[in-house]
Parts: sequence; structure tokens; C-alpha cells
Amino acid sequence: MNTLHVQQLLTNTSDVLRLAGIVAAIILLLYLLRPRQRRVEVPFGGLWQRVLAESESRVVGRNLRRFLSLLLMLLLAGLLNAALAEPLFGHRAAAQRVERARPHTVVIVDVSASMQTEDGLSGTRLADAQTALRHWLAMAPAQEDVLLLAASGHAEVLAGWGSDRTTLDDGITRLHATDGGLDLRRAIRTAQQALAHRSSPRIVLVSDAGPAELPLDATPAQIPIEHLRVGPARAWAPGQTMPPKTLTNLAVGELRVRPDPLDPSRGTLTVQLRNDSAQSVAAQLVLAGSDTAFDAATFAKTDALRRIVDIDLPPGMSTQTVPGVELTAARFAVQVRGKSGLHDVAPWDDWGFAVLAERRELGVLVVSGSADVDPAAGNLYLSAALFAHGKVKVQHVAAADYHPETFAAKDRARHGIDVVVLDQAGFALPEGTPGLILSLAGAPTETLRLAEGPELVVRDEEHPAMRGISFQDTNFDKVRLIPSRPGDTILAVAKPHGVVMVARQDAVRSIEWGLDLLETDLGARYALPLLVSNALLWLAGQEESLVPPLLVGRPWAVDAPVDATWRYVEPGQKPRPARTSGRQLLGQSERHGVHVWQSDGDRLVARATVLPPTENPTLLQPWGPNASTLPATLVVEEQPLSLPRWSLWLLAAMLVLAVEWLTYLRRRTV
Amino acid sequence: MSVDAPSSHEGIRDDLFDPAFLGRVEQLALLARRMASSGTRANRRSRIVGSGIEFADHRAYTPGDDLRNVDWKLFARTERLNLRLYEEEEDLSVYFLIDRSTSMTMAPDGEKTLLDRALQVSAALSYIALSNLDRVAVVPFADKIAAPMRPVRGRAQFFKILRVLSDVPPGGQTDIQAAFDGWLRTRPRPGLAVVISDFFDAKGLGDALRLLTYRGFEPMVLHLVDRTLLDADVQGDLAIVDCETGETREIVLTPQLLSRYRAAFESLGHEVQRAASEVGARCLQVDLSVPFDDVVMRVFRAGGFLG
Repeated sequence: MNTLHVQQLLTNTSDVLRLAGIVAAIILLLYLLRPRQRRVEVPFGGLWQRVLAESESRVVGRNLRRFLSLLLMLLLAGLLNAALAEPLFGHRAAAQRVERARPHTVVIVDVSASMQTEDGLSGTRLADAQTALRHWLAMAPAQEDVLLLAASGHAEVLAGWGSDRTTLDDGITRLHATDGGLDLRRAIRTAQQALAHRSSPRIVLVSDAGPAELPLDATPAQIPIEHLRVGPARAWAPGQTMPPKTLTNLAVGELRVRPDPLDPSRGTLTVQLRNDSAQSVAAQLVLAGSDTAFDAATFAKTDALRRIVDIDLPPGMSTQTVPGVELTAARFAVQVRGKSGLHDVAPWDDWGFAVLAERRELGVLVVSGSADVDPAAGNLYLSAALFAHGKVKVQHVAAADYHPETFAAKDRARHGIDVVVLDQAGFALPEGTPGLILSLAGAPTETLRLAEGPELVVRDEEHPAMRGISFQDTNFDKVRLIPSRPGDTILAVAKPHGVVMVARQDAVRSIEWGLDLLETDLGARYALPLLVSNALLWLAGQEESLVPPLLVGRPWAVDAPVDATWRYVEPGQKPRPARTSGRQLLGQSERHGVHVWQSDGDRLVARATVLPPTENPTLLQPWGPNASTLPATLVVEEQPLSLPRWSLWLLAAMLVLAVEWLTYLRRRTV
Repeated sequence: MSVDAPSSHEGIRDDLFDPAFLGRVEQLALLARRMASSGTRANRRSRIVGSGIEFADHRAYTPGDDLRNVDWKLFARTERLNLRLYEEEEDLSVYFLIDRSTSMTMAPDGEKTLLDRALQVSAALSYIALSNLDRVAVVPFADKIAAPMRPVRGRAQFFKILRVLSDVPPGGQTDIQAAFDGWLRTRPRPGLAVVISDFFDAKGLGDALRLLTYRGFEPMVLHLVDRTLLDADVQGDLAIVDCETGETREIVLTPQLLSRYRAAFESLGHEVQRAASEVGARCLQVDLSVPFDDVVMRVFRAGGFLG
């Protein structure tokens, strides 16, 4: 049997282990079946004792030596086995193999959503990564132990430690891009754990992430990281022709649905869009709504609520608003697509999803302190605005009958009041219950400052209480100027006098308006119902009509009652028992879409996902000057195969031991 | 008397004491008589003053002495009462102290054992002693004396001796000192004590011989050895078992270890010899391969037996 044949005998780890097991089993069998000690009767044991006292150790020592002999045999067998298995561990010269420690490398392959981008030489960036990885493996030392890790929101081992190229190639073939984001910190942490206590550790990262996205602070100093970059910043290889099509990408950054305060059956869709090309692109927004669809495929099949809106997308980020959308469904999706054959290199980010929040009825207590209004009905303007909200249950009480301690938040189950509205009533809010204070009077210790005929201007348009509010052309007879305190959010001011409306968020939320609805024509305007509705929603903690989206691939915790049994429905997956923690439902997914937790009482908690901003592919300057190139010619180092000399010595040692063993058996049987 | 009296063969082991053996014993007896008359015979007289005819000495009279022994002639001359002392000639008692322990019964070659050889030698020497009008007793021992035999006298008692020898029960653990001590408590008449054994006794032989000497015995040591035990070609892992104590010891027998064992065996022979010389006893080491008549002849040549 020549050297080559010996090396071909063991081609993978399982063969080695199998051979090692057989050899060890044979040795153990021989050990167990070894001839029993022959009993020899002697006339005088004392004479032997005298002899042995000089030259022999105790029986325990002999037994130990015998056991050590077995261990030595096993060790020798193991070493011989390792010697035969050496081809698995490298192709370098035998002397080098003995002297050098085996290098260990964890290859992290980015399989996040951006790797689906079709701007690579081989198609997608992932295909480029696979090609580059195969070339890298071909050039790597043959004895190098490699662990292949697919990284997105989590890290998955596709090929465990080993140097078998076939196994690694299978692992590379099984790489597929997800819809999730990339959590590089987690991947590097996993690689670090895998490399712990291993010789010559190294991490190779195959990703389209730019240097700025690498978590350098999470990188251990003692483990070098090599970044094999694919994607737009990597230049095309020399001689490679430019891509035939104009590369561009349209993406939906985020989708928000906001019901109309005056008509909750309709709402406005706000779509954050991105155009990665250098010029404006004619595109379409395809809107769809459904109660059951959960990802692009299922929304694409939904005809209900389907609307197509033609838009002209400028380069960079832009926001499109689609008003008047019927909100008869709970889930919405929007797709942006280019017109006239535009090649979108990243179709995975063309979709955005949103879930309409479940609104519950608010309990509102209106305390009227004005002598000019009927305490039973209250201020009619205010009552009309509350009525317009639709999801409130109003109770009126006269100022004389109001006792704040009755409506403390801890007794909410009894009184059912979520928000207290103090209309010209100078009382304290109940403990823990948020409130809206409309007053021209102010606090008893406050120096009253009034502004006559002021011009009210919204100061904070982004505050939930002021969204969609305009005081333009509204007349005010007089307003009270509110002394603002640190931490107050100034909502509106009376030019040029001072603050008129503030929002406070201490232990409990409160909004104070320094005005009387009887002293202005605001009550007859569209702004008042909106203002009241916004204020109630913010005070009750329901200011977000859009359920906050979840980042794909990141762990989520969603508030929900956990007194029921919940199941988790992930796009494209069968429902499974949900994970819970305290009063939260947990989840994590690699799929872009709508995720649903369903209770045994058929209650649903739904959350739409949003792609993390770092996953946005950047196609600007694909042939940038600072890009590096892959080697044009890949040379696989060929080394002649040879059986290491030390394994021959081991083989010889084993033969000698076997001969000795046989002769020993023969001696014993005389 | 001839030793082959057919009526007396009952109860005698034929394998040991066959007619050929008895004929050879007769020849040895004749040879012994010739050797005794040639002057090699040692006189054995009792130092006890008694009723002999040969004057030995005088000693002062003490009240209670027999007045018939007073030397009146001397009294007449010296006016002092002195007794005449005579040297009393008495029969020699020969005891054959035969080790019957288990170690004496081992037969590596499957033929004769050391005990067999000891019994044959004892029989031959007994016949010679009986022919010499000595008293003979056979005392088998291991760690004690089983049933002490009263000394017998006269050639006619030879078959009784043979029966006793044939009935020696083999087995037991060797403890020479304890056995001798127990035997001496029976107050045997002092005489020649021929100790025949392999002397595989952890306590050694010295104290036992000193005990005999102290009680007035003249010990004679016959060390029987079987060297075939030293020639075993068995090697490797062995569990050696003491045939008497059953103690087991695991060894790895190598040629070096066997060589050391042989040296220890020879050292044991030297120790026996040294113990014998310390009490002035004669010691012969005889291998099992030596025929019994040669052994007897060597005993004669060593002297001290034919009294």
C-alpha cells in the first residue's frame, strides 16, 4: 500500500472515529480477555516474599502498571490513528505539520436581507459571497480547522469544526439570505466563544457591511478579523464588464397608518420611501389591506382595499402621504415598484407593513366649574368635541360635587375614568389619573397674567397632542399665560406674550390650556375635536395610532396580557406556543411581514416589522476608488501527499508491541 | 533377624518399603557395623552416676545418700564420708523428628516427595539403630506432634517402626519450634534427635535446635531439598500460592527474579547449616534426587550417628 493509498483510506472525520473506535475496542477486548494469572503452588511463600521484598513493588503498583500499560496501548493506538488520519488535517509537509499549531478560523457569512441585493458578479451579494468564500477556502491551508457561521439576527452553524472541504462546501451551498437584519455583535460573540482555547484563532467576515457598520468595540483584540467584503463598495474585478442594467433600488423605509380623528373608519397612510439612484424615478405605490395577510406574498394576493398610486420619487429619502384610506382592515402593506422596466436590485426591501392599533373606549370625567354652563351638560363645545372622538364615554359632574380622591387611578376598576377634564375648575387632579385642564383662572398662588386678543401659534407640531392642529384665523378674546416649568413641553404660545398650552409628563400626564372655550371661536372649528381627541389619546397613553414596528431579526418584547395562552404566528411558519416573560410576549423572526400572537380566546396582538436602517443597500458609487478587488487568478496550492514519518515510527512501535504481546501470551501459556 | 519377615508386612507402605528397600537396609546395617568396629564409632556413655561397674569419681556424702555407696576404705584413711561414683552405661535413644508438613509432600515431578525420602531414610537409620541396640522413636511433626511414639528397642521392633512411618499423616503448617516445644513437654529421654525437614519455616531453625540442646538432646539435621522447584521454566504473570498457608502473591516471574529466588534458596540452606553449627549439630543437605542409601551413607560418613 503506497502512501497515497494510506491517506485516501481516511477521508473524513467519521472514518477516523470509526477506525479509532475499532482499534480501541480490539485493545479493550484483548485486555479483558487477557489470560488469567496462572496459579503456581510453592512450598514456601516466605522465600518468595524475601525475594520480592527486594525487587518487586506492591500488588497495587503492579495492577496500576498493568492499567497504565493498557492506557499506553490505547494512547499509542490513538496516535497511530491520528497519524493515519493526518490527511484530514492538512497538506503541508510533515515536519511543518508537527511543528505548527493547527489554525482555527470562524467564517461568518452575512445572510441578512441586504445580501439578497442583486448587484453582484454572480447575481446576488450572497452568491458573490459564496464564490469568494470558495476561493478563500481553496487558498487556505488544508489543515486549517474552519467553522462556518451564517449570521443574520442570530448565528447558525452550517458546518462544525473541521477541515473537510466537502463538508464546508456543502455548508456554503446551504447558505441562503433571510429577510432579517444583521446582528454582527452577536455573530462575533458566537465566533469568539467557538474560538475560545483554540490555537491560532481568526475570524473571517464575509459581508456587505461597510467598515462603519463593524462593531469594532465588540471585537476581541487577540482575535484578528479579516473582512471579505461583497456588495457595492467592492469593485468589480479587473476586466469585468459593467453590469448591463442601470442599478437602482427603491425601498419602503416605514409605513404608518393613522386613523382620522373625526372619522376613524378612514385614515392616512404615511410611507417613508427611499430612492437609491441619482435621479428621480417614476414609481407606483401599491396599497393593500387585509385582516389575515402577513407577508408580501399573501398581501400580493389581496385585492381588497387595493389602491395604486403613481408617484415620482426624488433621489434619497422622501415621504408620501395617502389620505382617505379605508381602515376596514387591521393590517396594511405597501409596495413600491418602479415603472418602465426599472431594475430594482433589492426587491426584498420594496415592502412595508403596518398594523392598525386596537382602540378601546376611554372613560372621561368632565368637571365644569363655569357658572355660565349647565353643570349637567357641561360646555357644549367641549361636549361636541368629545362626542366626535367616538371612543369615549363621558360623565359630567359639577365642580361642587367633584372629589378628586374618588377618581384615583388605583380605583379605576370602580369608577372607570381614564382622563379627567377640568373645565374652568380650579381643583387638583385625582392621584394617578391624567387630566386636561382648561382654565383662565390658574392656580391660587399663581400670578394671573392674561393676554388680550392674542395670536396663538403651535410650537410643537410633532407632539401627539398637536398633530394636525392649526390655530390659523382662530380668534381668542383672551388667554392665560402659563408659567412654564422645567420639563414642560410647550405646545402653543400666544405671540408675543408667552406660553398658553403645555404638556407635562411627570408621574402622571397632564395638559394645561390657558383658555376658555367660551372666550374663543375655536369651539366651532375643526381643530377643537382634533385637539381634544389628540389630548385624550396622549393622556390615556394611546397617542400612537400606529403600532410600533419591530426590527426583523432582533428579539422583541410586546406588551400583552399573559393570563391567556398565546400562540405565535410567524410569516410562513406554522403557529407555535408563544414565549412569554412577565407581561410580555417574546419573539424573533428572520421574516419581513406581520407577526401575530393569538390567544386561546382568539384575541390577536399583531406587530408589523420594519427593516433596520443598516440593512439599506447603498448603491452609490459601486465602482468607488477605495474599493478593493478580489484576486483575478485564484491559485490552489498543491502539495504532494506523504505519510508523516512519525506515523511510520508509531506503526513500527505498534508492531513491536504486538509482537511483544504475542510472545508474552506464549510465555504465559508454557 | 531378617528384615523381610513376611508376617510383619501388614500396614506397611509397599511403595516405600518394598523388599528391595528392606534388602538394601540390611546391607547398610552390615556396613554400619563394620564402620563402627573400624573405630569410627563414637562412645556414648551417660554422665549420670548410677549403678554401673566402672568407677568414675568420689563426692562428699550428703544426708540421704545411699550408705552402700560410701567408700569406707577412704573413710578409714581420711575419716570423711565420700561416696563412690560409677559411670552408668545406658542405651542410646534415637529420635527421628520427621517434618510431615504440606511442603514436604509436594511432588513437582509426580513421583517421590521429600516426605517419602524422609520416611525411607528414617526407616533405614532406624534399622541400623535398632541393630545397635539403641532405642528408636519416630516423631512426625508439623506445627505440633500428633501422637508421640514411645521409643522401642531391638530389631524385632523394626516393623513397628515401619508401620508408624507408613502411618505418618502428611499435611500441616510448619512450626518447628512449637512442635519441638510440645514434644519436649512429654519429657522424652534425651538422646540423638535426627531432624529431617525442608526447614521451610518462617521462624527459622535456630531456636528449635537450641531448645533440643538445652534439654540434653544431641541434634542432627538432615536438610532435604528438591531442586526441581528451582528449574521451572514458567514465566510471566503468576499467582504463587503458599501450599501451607494458602497465601497468594502476584508476581511477574522473570529470569532475573528466578535467579534471585535460587540465590535465596541457597541462602536458606546456609542458614540451616549455620543454625546447626551454632549448637554443635551435624548438618547434611540432601537433594531429593540422591538415593536414600547414599543419604544413609553420607550420614554415616558425617559421623555422630553410630553410637
